[in-house]
Amino acid sequence: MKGVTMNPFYLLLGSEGALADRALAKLQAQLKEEKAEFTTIDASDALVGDIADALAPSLFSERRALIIKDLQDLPEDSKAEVTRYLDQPDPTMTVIFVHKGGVKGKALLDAIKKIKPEIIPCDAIKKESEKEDFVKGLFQDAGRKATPGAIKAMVGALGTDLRELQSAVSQIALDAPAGAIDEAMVDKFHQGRIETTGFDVADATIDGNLPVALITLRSALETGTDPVMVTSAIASSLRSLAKVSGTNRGTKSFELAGQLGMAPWQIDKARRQLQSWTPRGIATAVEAIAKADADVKGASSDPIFALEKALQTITAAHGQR
Amino acid sequence: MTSVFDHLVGQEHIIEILEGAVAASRTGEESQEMTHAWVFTGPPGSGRSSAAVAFAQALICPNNGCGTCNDCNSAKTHGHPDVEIIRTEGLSIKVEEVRELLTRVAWAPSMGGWRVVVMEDADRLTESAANALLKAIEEPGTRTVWLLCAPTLHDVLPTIRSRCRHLQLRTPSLEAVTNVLINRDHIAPGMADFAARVSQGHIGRAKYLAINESVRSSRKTIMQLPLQLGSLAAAFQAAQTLVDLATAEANAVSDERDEKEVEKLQEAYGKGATGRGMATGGAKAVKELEKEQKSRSTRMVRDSIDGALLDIATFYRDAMMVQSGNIDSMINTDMREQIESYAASSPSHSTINKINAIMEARENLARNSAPLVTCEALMCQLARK
Ligand SMILES: [Zn+2]
Repeated sequence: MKGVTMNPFYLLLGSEGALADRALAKLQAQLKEEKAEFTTIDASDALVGDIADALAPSLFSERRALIIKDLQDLPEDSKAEVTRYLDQPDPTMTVIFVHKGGVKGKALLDAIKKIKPEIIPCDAIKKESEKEDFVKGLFQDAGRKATPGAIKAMVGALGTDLRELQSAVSQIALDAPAGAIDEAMVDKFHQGRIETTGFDVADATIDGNLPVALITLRSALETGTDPVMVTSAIASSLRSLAKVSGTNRGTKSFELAGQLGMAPWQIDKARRQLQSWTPRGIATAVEAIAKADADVKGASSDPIFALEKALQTITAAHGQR
Repeated sequence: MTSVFDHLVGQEHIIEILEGAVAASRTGEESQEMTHAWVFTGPPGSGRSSAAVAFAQALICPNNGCGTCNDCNSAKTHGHPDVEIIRTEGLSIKVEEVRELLTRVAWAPSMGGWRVVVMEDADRLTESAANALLKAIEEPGTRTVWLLCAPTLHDVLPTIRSRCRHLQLRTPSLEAVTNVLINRDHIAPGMADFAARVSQGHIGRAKYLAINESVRSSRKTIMQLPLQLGSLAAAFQAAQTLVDLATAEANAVSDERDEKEVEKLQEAYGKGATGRGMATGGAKAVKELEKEQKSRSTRMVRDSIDGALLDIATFYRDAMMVQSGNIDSMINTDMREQIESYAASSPSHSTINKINAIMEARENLARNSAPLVTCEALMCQLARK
């Protein structure tokens, strides 16, 4: 058929969901270019006949595609529908199998491999350098360039979950101004990532600025921020202060980053804030925020009042000698 | 002759009542001694559900609860057609579950005699579930005996508890727990004494501690935390250590169980050794199970943190004992010197404040407060002079 450049069969094989997602997105873009109609089936939900229906020849011989996700979970009863098709493929059709690998559904997998599909390996990524390549590739997909420092910073912060990494890259690619994406932009993204409004309240509170803290609290709650997000943002800021308070002033922040589990910019920020905090003041503040947390979880009938009271106590503890 | 009641530690006062009820039940009629609804209450670990299960065994056993016959064994292992043991891991028992239970127990007992339902966490009945249950309890002339368990009578809906006979279990004495560990579980006397003391009458916890080296070692770390609160950063570190250890302990238990449950479910959906896949709906059922397991494990982590806080409370309790000249009843005898020097350096009113702070933190955790910040605030309070 005219205009078909894709293979009749693809096999996305391996346990790394983020890689499979990425490969699938590319194939789908190609399919769209070829104006193909495509159907997606989750193997675990497939009922008898679903796959046969999707593979049945079309009356209009248009370009079509079928994507079967989680092939390893395909019910026994549906497997024959796939193997039957393997013997007599339809030239207008592209079938994309997504399989997590492993022993589950191995016989079917072997049958598919026999017809020589294009195999795209999606094995789990463990090495730092491979993760960095992955991030680099994602930025390229989005038409952006990132500095090696920015890529390292992203892998360092979110490398345990590639899907998280994936969504962070697409967010930064959209938000960052034109030009190469550098570390500062990644930092800015992290700051914004955890409920911006909660952290706005936290910043004002830790700076001892009660009027601004109260105003941002009101607007955060009005725009739908959960009070729990506010208490957890303040608790997390206080935790940073407490951790950094135990370190030697002379040690460089990047040297402490690993030990404290904090980004260097967070350490620098905490050091600045610590200038107006005493250990006793921080202790008072964390007790107040723990109480507010219990209150917003239902110990108090008026959670907003409880939060406002905590902000008062904490801002009063700021600058206390 | 052995009896299922032998295993109830330090509960002689209720054994007498239960034996009377079993004897009266043989007439097959309801009587003053044998009513068909009971509530067992007692502090955690006092064995309220063991008492209820023993009673259930005695009611269906031809030898009044010998503990060795088929009926006794199958009653305990959920294999007896006339005994239902309802054990919940979830946060609540919902009305649908009670309705389903009621249809299951609607028939007459298969072997004559009595049908017994043990509900281990009657305090978790939702209000509508309790009302559904109430109807069944009120129904006259049925052959079903209801044995409800709860921490206190207060935890049971008033309408239900007014229809039940109430049995209050006691916290068993130190000697009683030690003896059980030695005689029943074959634990060395020194270890049994230690485990019984630090578990404060909680038999299950005592046994768990006595047979698990890793549990003892994390308890040891946790018991040192009150002595490591020299700076703000140290107090926060202590909170992190406590949450991490408690989480690891809870996960060690739940991971293994979760895996087994998933395997069992997969088998039920036809996943066999031959590499066959699961039948339709299997993957979905597994996902649902995993969701349930997640909420259960959150609860287990909370319980585990609560246990660690109770442990820490014993440090201050001991310090208070020392401060009031009561050194004989010390729980943490292995820390005697450390506790004595702490007691000498800190005023007794501050020790009381610290115990109160721990109890308040526990209450907040029970209300779902964020574990880490709750512990951080607590450690800051404990760090005060
Ligand atoms: Zn028996």
